[in-house]
Amino acid sequence: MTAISTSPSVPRVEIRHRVVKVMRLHLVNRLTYIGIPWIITGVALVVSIVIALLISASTPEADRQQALEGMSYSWAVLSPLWYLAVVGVQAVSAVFPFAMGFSITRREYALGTLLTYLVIAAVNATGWAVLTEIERAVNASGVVFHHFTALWLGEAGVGTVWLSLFSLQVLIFAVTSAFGAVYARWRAMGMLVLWVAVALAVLGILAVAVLTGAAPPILDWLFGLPSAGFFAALLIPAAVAFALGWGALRRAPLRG
Amino acid sequence: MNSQNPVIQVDGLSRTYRDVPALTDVTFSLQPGIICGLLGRNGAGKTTLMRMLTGQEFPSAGSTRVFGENPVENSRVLQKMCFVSEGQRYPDGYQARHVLAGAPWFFADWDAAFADDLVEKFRLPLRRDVRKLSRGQQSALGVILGLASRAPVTIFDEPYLGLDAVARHTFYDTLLADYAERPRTILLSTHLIDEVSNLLEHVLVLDEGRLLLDQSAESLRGSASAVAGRAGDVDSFAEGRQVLHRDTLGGLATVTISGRLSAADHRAAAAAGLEIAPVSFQQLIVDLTTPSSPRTAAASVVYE
Repeated sequence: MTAISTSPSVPRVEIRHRVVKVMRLHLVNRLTYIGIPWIITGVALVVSIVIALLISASTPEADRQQALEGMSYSWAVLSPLWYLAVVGVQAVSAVFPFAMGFSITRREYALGTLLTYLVIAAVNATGWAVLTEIERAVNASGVVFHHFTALWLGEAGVGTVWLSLFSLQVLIFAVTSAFGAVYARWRAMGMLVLWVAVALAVLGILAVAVLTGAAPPILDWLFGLPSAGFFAALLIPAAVAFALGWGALRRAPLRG
Repeated sequence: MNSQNPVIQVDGLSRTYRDVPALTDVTFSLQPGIICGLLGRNGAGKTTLMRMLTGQEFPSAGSTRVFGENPVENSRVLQKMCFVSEGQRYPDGYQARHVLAGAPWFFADWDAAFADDLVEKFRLPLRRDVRKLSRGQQSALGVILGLASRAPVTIFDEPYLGLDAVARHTFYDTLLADYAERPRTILLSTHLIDEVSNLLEHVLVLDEGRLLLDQSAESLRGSASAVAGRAGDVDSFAEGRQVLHRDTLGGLATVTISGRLSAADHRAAAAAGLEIAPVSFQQLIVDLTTPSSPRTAAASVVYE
């Protein structure tokens, strides 16, 4: 950000201006980026509450506490993230052709989309982090309930909670829109090649890790990472995915 | 040609998809402030050409210049252009009002009041998912975008698929009235040639990716005549002239002859009992772009 604001060249300013307009274009229909993720959050929370009530009603008083603690393994808190994968694909498959119809360049589109992702991810992460803290306070008051304070989010500090949710969203956006960009550029053949490449890369890493006996230390290292560092590191593959997506998109023709 | 710089300059433009040529060595230039028709059959390369003019497609060879610059990834140029594509896609959940709300951010000369007026005229539902609009209503949305953008270069690709006759004439009338007040360059592709023939000042005809015709509409009008009568009389009248097309029905024949006929020609035709009629734009384009076999037959009549 500072790199942009400290260079005062005129065309930069012009481009930045249009990049902000691309963000607005993404957010014209707020349902996609804001409405649906929060509707999913709300519905998932209601489901968790109902399940907690069912557990309370069906377990004897003595076991109730422990049974409710089991909810801290629930993945429900991550449910809006899966929807964001759809948003990432759609941003390229539908918003890109639409943006080009508005005489927007690919570069402006890509930068505006990236900024939209970062802002949306930050806003969502902030909202979820606040709710996590509220739930922590509820738990501290003696009511056992785990929806937001599940998985690693139960033990992590508020900063790590925010960072983890932010990084995961950015990673999902970047990877899915990179897939969308490869499809926009090379269609079905591109998808085929990409999936085969992904499969080969995963196989290759597994093979190397297993055959050289490097697997246990790698896993140890991975799980030994302080969670904040691990989640911050997720931004690296996110950046790589975004760069690859841009590489595909910058020469992508618009087809009917 | 006048002394103004062309607003659109295309040189040796070609586009090949794998080994199929979509556009072959197309060269032309357009002066600012005209309405130009881009005509041709399906698959002639009209959309491909329009996409390359707006930087949506990349040329295999040759160049396009709009306002003297390459339009690809060039927001300075693209800001002054509006391309209304027949197959424009819209994001999920987008309604017409969303599209119209976003338009002024990208088109500097956008006229919101004009857009509202057009929404009324075309009876466009604003609060319905664009993807659920009928074909004609989607076309109306495109037409409204193109007109209200008032972009210095406005390109319409088949803008009125599915539009009813009333809406089409609303489009023609509004386009002409607004163009008279605010001259700009308008490139229009269409199959409804006769409907727009009075609108056009210049005509480009593409056939199988090649530019067949690049001519002012004025000079094209009356540049061909249809001569009808008994086959023998028609053929002897047509001898030595350029015959674009020949039809026979029993002993009767109709030929389309290129070039203006003189008063003497008219007298000769009348003496031979032949009827001469002007050829409509549409007929002329059809004659120019029908597969070459009948034309060779006609040509052989001429040179026998």
